[in-house]
Order: sequence, then structure tokens, then C-alpha cells
Amino acid sequence: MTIVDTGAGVTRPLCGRRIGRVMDGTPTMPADRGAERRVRLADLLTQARDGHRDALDHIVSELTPVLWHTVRAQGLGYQAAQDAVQLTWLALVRHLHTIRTPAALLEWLVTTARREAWHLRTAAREAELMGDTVLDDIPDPADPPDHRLLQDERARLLWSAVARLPAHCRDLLRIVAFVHRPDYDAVSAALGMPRGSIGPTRGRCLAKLRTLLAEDPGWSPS
Amino acid sequence: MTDPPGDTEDPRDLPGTASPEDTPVFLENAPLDLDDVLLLDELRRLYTAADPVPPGLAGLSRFAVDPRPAHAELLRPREEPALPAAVRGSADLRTVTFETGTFTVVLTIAALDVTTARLDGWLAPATPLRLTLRTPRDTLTTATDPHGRFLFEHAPRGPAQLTVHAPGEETPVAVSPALVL
Repeated sequence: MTIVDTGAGVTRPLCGRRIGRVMDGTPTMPADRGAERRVRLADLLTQARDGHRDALDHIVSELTPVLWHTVRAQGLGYQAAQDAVQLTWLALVRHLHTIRTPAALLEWLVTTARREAWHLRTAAREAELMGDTVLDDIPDPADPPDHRLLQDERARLLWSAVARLPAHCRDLLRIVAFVHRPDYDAVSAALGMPRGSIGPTRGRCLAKLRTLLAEDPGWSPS
Repeated sequence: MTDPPGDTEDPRDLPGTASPEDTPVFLENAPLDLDDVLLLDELRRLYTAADPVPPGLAGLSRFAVDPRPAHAELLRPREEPALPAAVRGSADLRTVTFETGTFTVVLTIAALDVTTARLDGWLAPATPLRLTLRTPRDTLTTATDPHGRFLFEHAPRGPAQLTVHAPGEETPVAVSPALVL
């Protein structure tokens, strides 16, 4: 059986169509391809269960970025965040045959990544209580990025607005920004948003961010 | 970390408060519109630039899952803070502690030269177990001594995965993420 890879995921724009301004050459997320991707990831998971090595590699390559941003939003340092992402993938291998809903792979991974981040943070905290100072290298997620990025006025204004968001909104939007549109609600639910308030919670966070930006005289909507 | 102020300044929380003419009000329960999608797009580009995925991470992850260790416990690593070189005697010395639900492995990694490292380990509680260090080229094997100590004297530097086995068993009881020695 060959691996059916019907899409290029986030790395190729949809038929040359791009939405949004391209600031840095990063392709934009093809919003209407998300449902297809969900089916494709479920197929890849089924193939991985059947022992197809390439299928698992495809999943790892495609979803490592969203897991990276998930664990970094949890405040893990550079090394610990890499460990948490790898532990999430090892956990997937461990549970490959027990995941009941392949279509919910993304939510399963995001939830597991947050749990692994929590495990590592807890261990680091316990070590700190024992006298080690391992938390020192864990940066605040609201730390400003390096100054080169902030020379871009638009990026600077956006960063400043994001930094003023409540932490739960900042974390939610950071992760949602790395998933496709049909996955927004499912991923928000996996992030512990109360059932029935998922849309409003995401909407409230986006509304807060847009309000902060609109109040900034330097900001112009894209 | 405390939330920045402003959580309660949502215009909808202040009935009767007029917004300035030029500040639009965004409704939380409005369906996602194009501007929301564009803003999420910009956020993604911002985070991609501000905090890029480490270039080797997907490759290390693929290496770590390659043996498909289905029933192994996870060796969760905790890197000890690097001490100043003067204290440790060498800048090329680091210690990683791994925890599972049942045992702890402390691994001290000393770079010998550009291609080789020496790994001194200690497993507690001391148990007769076999350990392997899997690298892209080959797999080194050693075993714990009665005190739980073990040694990989000449390990090739680069990606490596530690696995713990019961004596005589091929299937590991615990696996680590890939380290870069």
C-alpha cells in the first residue's frame, strides 16, 4: 500500500491562492483545506497502525510545529520544550492502537503535549524545591522576541497587543493560529474550554485582541 | 505570572459606555470573519518568526519513534542547570536526570573530543538491567553493576536514544527522547 498524501499541509499555498499579507514568505494556512487534512491525518494514523513507517514520519513532520507552540505556550524552556514534543510523539507510538478516534488525532496530541509539558514543569519545580534552580532558564511566554523582529513596526504592534492579552487568551490564540479552521473548535475544546463556550471563548480572545489593536493609532487592519 | 491588566476592559462589560467613534466594537459571538482569519494568519507568522521550531526537532522526533517502542515507559528528562565551567572543571560536561514512574536514571555526559563522549550513568533503585544507547549508526549495550551504575565509555556524539531492557529482553521497558550528545 502506498501512502496517499493528498495535500502538502501547511507548506504549500492552495493552488497559489494566499490569504493575508505575506510578511516573510511564510505560506498562509489554506483555510478551506482543513477538513481534507483532518481526513488525511486520520488515514495516515490508520496506515501507521498497520506498520507503515512513512505514515508516522509524515504525521511527525506535519504536526511538530503545532506541538512546539503548544508546549512553548506552557512556558517551557528551549530544551524542555523539545523534550516535551518528543515525549508526545513517543506517547503516540505507545497509544497507536488505543486511540479510538483517528479523526481526533490533533486534539489527542495537543492534550498529550500539554500533559507532558506539565510533567516536565512539575519535575523542574520539585527539583527547585530541592535546591536546584532549573526554572531560571524558562522564559516568560510574553518575553519580547529579539529586536530584529521588532524592527518590523507591524510585528511590534501585534506583539505588544498580544502581550497585553490575558494569559489564557494568549495561549489559546497561539495554538489556534497553528491549526486549520475546521480544527479550531475541537482544539479549543481539548485546551479545556468549557463545552458550549468554545466558540465564544475563542471569539472573545480574538475580539479582545482586535479591540487592543483598534485602539492603537499605529495599527491598520490588513 | 499575572495577567496583564485589561481583562475587564471589554467594551461589552460596560453597558452604556460609548466607544470612541473610531474604535469599533468586536462581538465575541460573531462568527469567525475574514479579518479573524487574517489576524490568526499574522499571529502564526509572528510566532513562526519569534519562536521558530528548532531546526532538528522533527528529525530527532522521527529518530526517537523509529523503533516503535509500543509498551515502554517514557524516560522524562530533566537537564540540570549548567554550572560555570570553573566549578565543573569542563564546559563539556552535563547531567540529565530521567524519571519514570518506577526508577530514576542519572546520566553524566562528558565530551571527550569532537566525535566521542563518555556517559556515566546511575540507575536507582539499583536493579540488574540492560541499557542500550541507540545512535543513527549502531546500538551500544551495557548493563548496570550491583550498585546501579553503568558506563558507555566511547559513544559517538550526535543523536542518541537511551533504552532500558530487562535482562534477555529485546523489547525495552523504558525509552528516552533523542538526546544530542
